[in-house]
Amino acid sequence: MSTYQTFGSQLRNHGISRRSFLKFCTAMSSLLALPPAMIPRMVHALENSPRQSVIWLSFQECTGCTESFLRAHTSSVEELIFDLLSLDYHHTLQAAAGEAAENALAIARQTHAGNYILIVEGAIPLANPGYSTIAGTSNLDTLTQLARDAKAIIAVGTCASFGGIPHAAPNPTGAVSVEEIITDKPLVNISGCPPVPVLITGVIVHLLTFGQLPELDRFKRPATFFGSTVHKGCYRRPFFNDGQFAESFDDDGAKQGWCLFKLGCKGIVTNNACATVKWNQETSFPIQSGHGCLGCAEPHFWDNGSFYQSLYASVAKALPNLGGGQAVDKNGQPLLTQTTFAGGIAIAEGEGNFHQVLTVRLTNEVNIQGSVTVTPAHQNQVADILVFAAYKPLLASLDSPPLYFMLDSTGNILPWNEVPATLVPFQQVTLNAVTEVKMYQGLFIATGSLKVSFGYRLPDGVVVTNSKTIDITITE
Amino acid sequence: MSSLKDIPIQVNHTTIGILPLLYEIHHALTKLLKDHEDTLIDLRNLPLSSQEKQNLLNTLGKGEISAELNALGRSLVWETQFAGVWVVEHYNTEEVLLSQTVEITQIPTILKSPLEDVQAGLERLEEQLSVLRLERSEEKET
Amino acid sequence: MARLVVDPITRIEGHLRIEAQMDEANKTIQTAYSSGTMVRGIEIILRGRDPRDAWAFAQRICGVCTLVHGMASIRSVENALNYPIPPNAQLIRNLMIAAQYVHDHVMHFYHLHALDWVDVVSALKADPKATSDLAQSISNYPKSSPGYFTDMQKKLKNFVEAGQLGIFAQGYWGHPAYKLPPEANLMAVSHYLEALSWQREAAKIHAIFGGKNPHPNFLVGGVPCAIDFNSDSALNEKRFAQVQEIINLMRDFVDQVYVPDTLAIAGFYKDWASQGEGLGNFLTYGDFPEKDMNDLSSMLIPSGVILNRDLSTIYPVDLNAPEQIQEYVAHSWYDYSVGKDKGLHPYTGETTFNYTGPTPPYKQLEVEKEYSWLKSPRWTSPDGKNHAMEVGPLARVLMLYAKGHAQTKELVDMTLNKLGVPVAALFSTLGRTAARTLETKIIGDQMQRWYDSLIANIKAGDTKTFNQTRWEPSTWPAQAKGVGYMEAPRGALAHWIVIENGQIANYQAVVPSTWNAGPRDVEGLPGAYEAALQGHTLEVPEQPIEILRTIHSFDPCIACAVHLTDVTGEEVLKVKVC
Repeated sequence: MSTYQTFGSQLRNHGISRRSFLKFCTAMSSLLALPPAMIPRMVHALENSPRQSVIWLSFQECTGCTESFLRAHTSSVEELIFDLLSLDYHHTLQAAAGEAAENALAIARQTHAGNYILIVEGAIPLANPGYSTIAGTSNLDTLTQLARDAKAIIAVGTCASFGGIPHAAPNPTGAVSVEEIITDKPLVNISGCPPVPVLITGVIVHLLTFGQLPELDRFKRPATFFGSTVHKGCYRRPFFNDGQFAESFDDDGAKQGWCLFKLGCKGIVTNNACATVKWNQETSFPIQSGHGCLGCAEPHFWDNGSFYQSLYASVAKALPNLGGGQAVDKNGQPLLTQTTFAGGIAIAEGEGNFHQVLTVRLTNEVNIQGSVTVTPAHQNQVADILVFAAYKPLLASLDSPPLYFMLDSTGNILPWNEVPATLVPFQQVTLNAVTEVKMYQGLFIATGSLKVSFGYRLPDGVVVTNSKTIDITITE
Repeated sequence: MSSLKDIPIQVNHTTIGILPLLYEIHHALTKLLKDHEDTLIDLRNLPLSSQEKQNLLNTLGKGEISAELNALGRSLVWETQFAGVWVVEHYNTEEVLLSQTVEITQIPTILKSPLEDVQAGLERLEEQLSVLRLERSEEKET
Repeated sequence: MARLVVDPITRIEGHLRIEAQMDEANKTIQTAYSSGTMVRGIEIILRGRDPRDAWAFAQRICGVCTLVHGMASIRSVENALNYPIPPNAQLIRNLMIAAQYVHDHVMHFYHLHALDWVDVVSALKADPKATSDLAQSISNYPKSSPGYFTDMQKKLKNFVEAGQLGIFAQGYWGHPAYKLPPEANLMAVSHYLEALSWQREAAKIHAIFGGKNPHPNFLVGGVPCAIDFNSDSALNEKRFAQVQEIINLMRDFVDQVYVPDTLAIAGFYKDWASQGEGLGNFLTYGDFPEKDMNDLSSMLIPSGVILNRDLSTIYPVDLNAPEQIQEYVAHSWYDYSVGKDKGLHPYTGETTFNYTGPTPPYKQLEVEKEYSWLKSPRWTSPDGKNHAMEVGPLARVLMLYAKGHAQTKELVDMTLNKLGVPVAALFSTLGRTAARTLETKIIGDQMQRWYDSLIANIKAGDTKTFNQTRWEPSTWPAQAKGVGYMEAPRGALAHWIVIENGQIANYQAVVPSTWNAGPRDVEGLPGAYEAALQGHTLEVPEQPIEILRTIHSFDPCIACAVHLTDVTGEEVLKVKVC
């Protein structure tokens, strides 16, 4: 058997110029968000490494992760990954079957003991070894045996990372993820159903360059790729900020590419690179083709509620109580009212709960909402909805008077002279028993403190607003 | 007071603006002159909006030299109006932008002919020469 | 008599194990047993969920034949709720299904099946000029110069000599059953690599309409991608132009590479035109509606049953009739509340695990008892007899041929003529393989028609892609049941759903590989694989390429692992791993 060639000489023999190889390293380094000074190190490490032995195991899977990996990497720069790897065992692709296949596995394992990368696709059933076997051996046994001599383990796909669909309620086979079985080896989860394929390449390149896995998040996913939400990178975010949502799958909003939040998009709570890296050589990604994000890179996303129920629907019930309202007549004289208020502010990237008092940062996407339980006497009247706030800069002294502002119907912020009659309408509605008021979604533009009020003005000039305000502190 | 804009408060967003970058390039040019050291700035991983990236590229402008590579896809390299400040863009065969860097250097690494490629070229030329020599000697015989 | 075991069977989707009784004297298989060795219980997982979500779960039944289960699921819900979809949505779905066919079949031929017929190592001995001559004699595919094949051969040589063969390691190179000359091998290996590049492009149709591939997104009531030629963010002219480009790319590859290669390779393996088909019974459900799923006459693929290879009689299929289709579990690791000897129609189907197989690690299955995670679907003819069925390309091509479809007749007759074999040759491993190629062309060509119809609709002002009249559960009856069917690349596929009070009460999927790879039923009738393998003679039992050729011709989509031990059940090689 000839000595194994290095990746560098391999490329030369394939007629790949060194410039192309440099391009590959530059692209990978950029993808991994490495400091550019690392590029020479990557070049040196990769060109001198022998082709990396990879053993790929398939358990309770659908083979979608393999298929995803095959979709990636056009016949250009990224395809060099196939020169870099020696796929020594892979059921879907390998020529040998049966005994010959198992021979290939044994030889690879022996020759590259301590040095092969073990890739696992699919979950492992624990309830009964007979639920999934290869060559008469349970998946559990196969995994523990092969993990022993592996340099590192890459769990590809949500099934291997978190249990995935076999694990979905009621988990009939007792399916578990790789990390619930293997606890003593370097392990990385590249989740997604299937995962964005270039992420697999990136992790392997990192491992070969630095001899260790990249920095991982709390779910053991590479932090570079899973450190941001689909929402953050989504090109439809300006519509979210402006409150422009598709209400149905081919209404005008949908055709204009408005935000799919109301149609169930889980992008806000899903960490993945799809919105920026996209799919199939940047052809598209789910939201771009009109369907909300399913959240497929998150643990147990199969059991997080319907794909079409919006996150808003599940939090809307939890608006903090703001108590009874205060009312004045058209001359400013106080009146009694039975109308009550609820409302609060939530941070989009947080757990989504609404608070009556909250400190936020300029970088947070906020959502300020209220709901008015209207006294029967006022119901069915056409009224102006009003939104206004008292503002103070952060460093203002306690006794300095606040500045007042109000929102008009196009979302502009106008100064207000504290006279209720001069409040401009934010919206004009017919008052229902419960009237929702969506006040603001987006970023704040200045630091300071805000006390937010809202309510309505009837045709006869009576103004009803909350007595307890929503208190917000905005910091850097 | 007529509007929020009149409030004398500095607003600071997530993006950094191009000023810090220009300062970094200034610093890198100094280093190049003094220590003959190159610097690489990866534009992709900076919190710049696409507008700001464009502003930066517009500010840097174009200089005397530009080059197009064909290596597993297109690459574009040009010197900006500031000598020693280059922009390198790598695309794959699908015209997907793989990386975009500003290099402060006398010549970007990608433009230099790597000695390994020179060696490979030399071997190919030798092959060609031996074929031509053979044809020549065959001609002479006939 | 000796027991042969092949596990893992590679180059399939899923985990399959084949065991067989082999006559040691003449090395011929007397009886074969097919076992699916992995289960997840997705039918159980679907219970209690919102029917509009079901497609996403169901689609993960398989990622190689992505799309098909999502489609069957959506159709089952639409059928149950009597929920019509806009014509544009139907056309987009047809385009997506067809794209899956072309992608899947081409990949299957080159990346899953080819290595049974093509000797990679022999390609190293080929003369590039002669290869070029061969390639140019069968096709006008532009990549065919001597220089091209020289480059390819060099690549292959370096790969092999580097010592790390990767996926080509331990292949049966040099096996006497390989019959292609080195030039044909080099040509085929080059096309293997071309197809690997091509398939990435082909997958983009799913990405455009469904957001990504694998596992594009779907929608009950239509399709999620809106159409608007005035919008940057919907399906507009640019997107449709891209779709047209990909359709051309797909069809060109099929016409210039896949079809000529199939015919060329088949010419060297005519002995495979007389073995590999054991049942003689074929089933299709039909697919590619022009109007709606209830209008069978408008479908490209007709539905029906053929018995005993008799193309003159086609029986009608009714997926709702409780006596026609039933699943048996006599030899499967499931229990039925009505007793293990009974069959159940999917509407009343049950999925209750009961693993009674040997405790792993094991050497052999107990084939007299239960031995598979697949059930045994059977079709009952009007006279009350049960029949095992083959589904898939051969079933479809036979159905099209029998019903007089012009293009099919032309292509089949051309193929039989070229190879110099009679119609009976269709009923074989070779016939099945050729049928796969031919239907790829037939379906691929239709893509242009559906595309043109779609554009015509849009130009006439119809951009509707979603019908929302039945979207809200409040519009549904308290009880509903329906069946969603389609022709997946591997064969007839259907999902049966029962909805109660807005939730899934029961869900049963009978997938094509259940028909083909299922075990014996209560009467002992073998499944399609089991019947097909009977009579195969193995030239080198330790390298059972003959079994692989026939099994791969079915394009298994199960989770199957096949591992070969020797005829006496002992390990042929004791591999010492230090």
